[in-house]
Amino acid sequence: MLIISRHDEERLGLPQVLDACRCYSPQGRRLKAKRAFYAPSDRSALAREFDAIELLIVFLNEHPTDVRRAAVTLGRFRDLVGTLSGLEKRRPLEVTELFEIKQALQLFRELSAMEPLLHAASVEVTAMPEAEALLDPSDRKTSGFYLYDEYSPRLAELRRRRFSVERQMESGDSSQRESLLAERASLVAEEEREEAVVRARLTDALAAYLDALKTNFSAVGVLDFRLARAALADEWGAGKPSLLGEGDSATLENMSHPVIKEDLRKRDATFVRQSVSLPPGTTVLSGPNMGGKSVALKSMTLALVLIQLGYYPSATASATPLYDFISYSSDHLDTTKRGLSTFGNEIVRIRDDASRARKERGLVVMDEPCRGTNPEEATALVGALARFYGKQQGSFVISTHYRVPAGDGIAHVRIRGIQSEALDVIASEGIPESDRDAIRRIEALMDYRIERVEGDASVPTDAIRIAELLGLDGDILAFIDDM
Amino acid sequence: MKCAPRHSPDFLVDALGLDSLRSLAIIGTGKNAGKTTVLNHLLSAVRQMKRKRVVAVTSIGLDGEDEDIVTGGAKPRIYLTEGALLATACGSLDKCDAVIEILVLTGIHTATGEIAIGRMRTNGYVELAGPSIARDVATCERYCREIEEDCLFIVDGALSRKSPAGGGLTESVILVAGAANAPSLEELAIETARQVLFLTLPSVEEKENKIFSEVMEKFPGHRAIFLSQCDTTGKTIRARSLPLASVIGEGKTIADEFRKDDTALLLRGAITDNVLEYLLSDSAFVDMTLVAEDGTRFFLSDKAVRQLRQRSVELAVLSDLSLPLICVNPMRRDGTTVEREDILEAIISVVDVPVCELGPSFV
Repeated sequence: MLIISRHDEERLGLPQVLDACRCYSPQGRRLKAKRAFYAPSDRSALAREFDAIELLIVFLNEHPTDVRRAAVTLGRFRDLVGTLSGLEKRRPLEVTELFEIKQALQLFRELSAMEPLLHAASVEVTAMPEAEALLDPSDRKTSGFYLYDEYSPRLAELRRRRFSVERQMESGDSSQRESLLAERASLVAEEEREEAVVRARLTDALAAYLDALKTNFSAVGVLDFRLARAALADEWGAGKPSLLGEGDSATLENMSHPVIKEDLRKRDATFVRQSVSLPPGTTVLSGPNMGGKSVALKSMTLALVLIQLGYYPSATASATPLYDFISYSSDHLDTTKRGLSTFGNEIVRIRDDASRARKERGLVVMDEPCRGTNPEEATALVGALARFYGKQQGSFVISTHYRVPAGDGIAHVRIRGIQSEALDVIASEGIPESDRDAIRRIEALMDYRIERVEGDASVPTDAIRIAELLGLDGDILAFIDDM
Repeated sequence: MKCAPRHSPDFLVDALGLDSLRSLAIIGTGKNAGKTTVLNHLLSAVRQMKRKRVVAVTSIGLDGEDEDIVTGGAKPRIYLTEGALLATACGSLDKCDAVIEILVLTGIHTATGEIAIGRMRTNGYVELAGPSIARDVATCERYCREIEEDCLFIVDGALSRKSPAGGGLTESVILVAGAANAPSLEELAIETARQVLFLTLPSVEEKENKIFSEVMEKFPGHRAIFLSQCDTTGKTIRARSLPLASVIGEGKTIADEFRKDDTALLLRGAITDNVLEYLLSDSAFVDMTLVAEDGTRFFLSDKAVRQLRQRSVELAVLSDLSLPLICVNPMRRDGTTVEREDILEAIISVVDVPVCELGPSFV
């Protein structure tokens, strides 16, 4: 289960990443939109997904033309939920619905011939020649559909008679016109009644194939969704995640955040990939201002969320146990509608996460909890949380500026940041031309790598230096010195 | 001679160049002008041509229904023969009494259902309920050409503020002037002359057309585009544009953006008296070109046209239309008819385009 508010999902970049996973068929899109969460009990199902995606990545690199062809076929599928429901209820299908089924049957046949692709995707799509024959009684091999004369000798006869009347109308004198029109109208009415009989008969005959149709449509969705995830993983250069047992540490190597990476690329900056290990218990992430703590937290959370949604994460290698739930919270401002203050909401969230973590193995991620609280009490609260989760079976990851003492089950990691000598170098380069220039200078010297810290991590103290570099008023800086 | 004999399929074939014409829209001076009757005559003419051609028909919105759902009067039905293609909504298919083979479901959805492309497997009456926007009509034509590359694509179009059916969409346009659309023949003649003026407007110069097209491509949501010359030689043209959901109701916004050195203004949408009200109250709005996407986008009164003329504001279009024929229909709204000769004379006296009266279509 994911416990992430809509706003936090957006901050995490989850909707954008899922949008980038492009399915071609309505069946694939529906499967994707379900957002199935693979809990620890679904481990073998998830392993099957990853095995198929692994084979598909190889396949799409070796046979790009076949994949493009499959994408075209998948893109021609239509959403037949209403039609299949009609078939299930034995509602006589409309001609357009029969056409839709005929088209789908042809597409199943096309896909069933793509054996290597289906094999790689571990999906079975079967041709249904008997059902196809029902909708193509004279083996015309055309893609269109109408109620053919072959379905009913009576229908054929009525149509012949109508045609004959129309011929007379075209060539005969106008005095007979009214009677011919009346005769034609009567034949048309009879034809409609016979067509209804034919449609009912065809519906009954097709109902025998309902289960096979459903199985095929479901397989199309699986194929499409797996192919889309494989393409995304290939684009990211992602490695296949290993699924570990309970109690193991989650590790992510060379992870990136696809959305932030793309934003950086647009302004000619590079995303520095990071590696991190999250053992059970508490992991405290510290680092300087502008050091990218929030980005690191987002990257690791997004990666682990994606794994449990059946996607490869944007990391060259990853290994993780499966969590019962993943909770991520970064801002509580948007939850004030419940009548609680920002702090009240935050505490409610902390309370609920803690209660859940006592019963289940979760991954709880908080970006700078208690940031709006007085530092003394906030330090106590954050320290207590670290100790509480240090004893739980799941993992608790926080970024914070508050000091968290070392203790059992509490690991400290930090973003390396900028060496103070480097800050002196920036200062010596003179006044930046613009805020953008100043930010660029700081970013250029920032070491974004995450390193493990043994024992108690010292709290970074470069906030005032960075404020100075960004041109904070000199009087304010002087007052800071006085204090 | 402008007035051609009645019931002459050859006349239609020659006047419209049906042998080689790729697409055609039929637009009327109003509701019940007689477009369907003209369409049936056209279909009959194509059937009798020496060179066999497949027709593909669609409509802008609903047409061909037994009864006019607006006025309640009986309407002529559309009769298609075996082999013809049609693009109509699924909801209309069961109101067609022909056998229709479904070839494509287009994914274009309308109030009457998804638009299907079908082929007539028998002759029969059909109800057309085509797409309501120009882009979707173009998609339907593309589907039809995938099936029959050389088909004659006919759009039974409406002339209304919402539904474009003209320049850029089809090669030619037929205007149907119906006695039902005006209280008197004199007024019908005035209305027809005004429509002809708009439908035969020239296109703007190539250089300006190119700039407008570039701005439209870059800013698809910008519906007012102003051109001005930024030097005295007039060689350098600068474009400005306004993001607007519609030009209707935005007359003041457009007028506020107007500058006295503007030389051309393109309004993408229906250009009405109300839209121009604020511009016309600005004395600097003179000596320029007012441009619409095509001639069917102008809905201006005679008074507004006169005012524009007095200020040397020329009207022009991005896509010019070919108007090879005007058909008149003597049927009044109450079912009675005016004299065939009278309506022909009334219209012929005010336009310089061939005019004909085809009579009822017995289908």
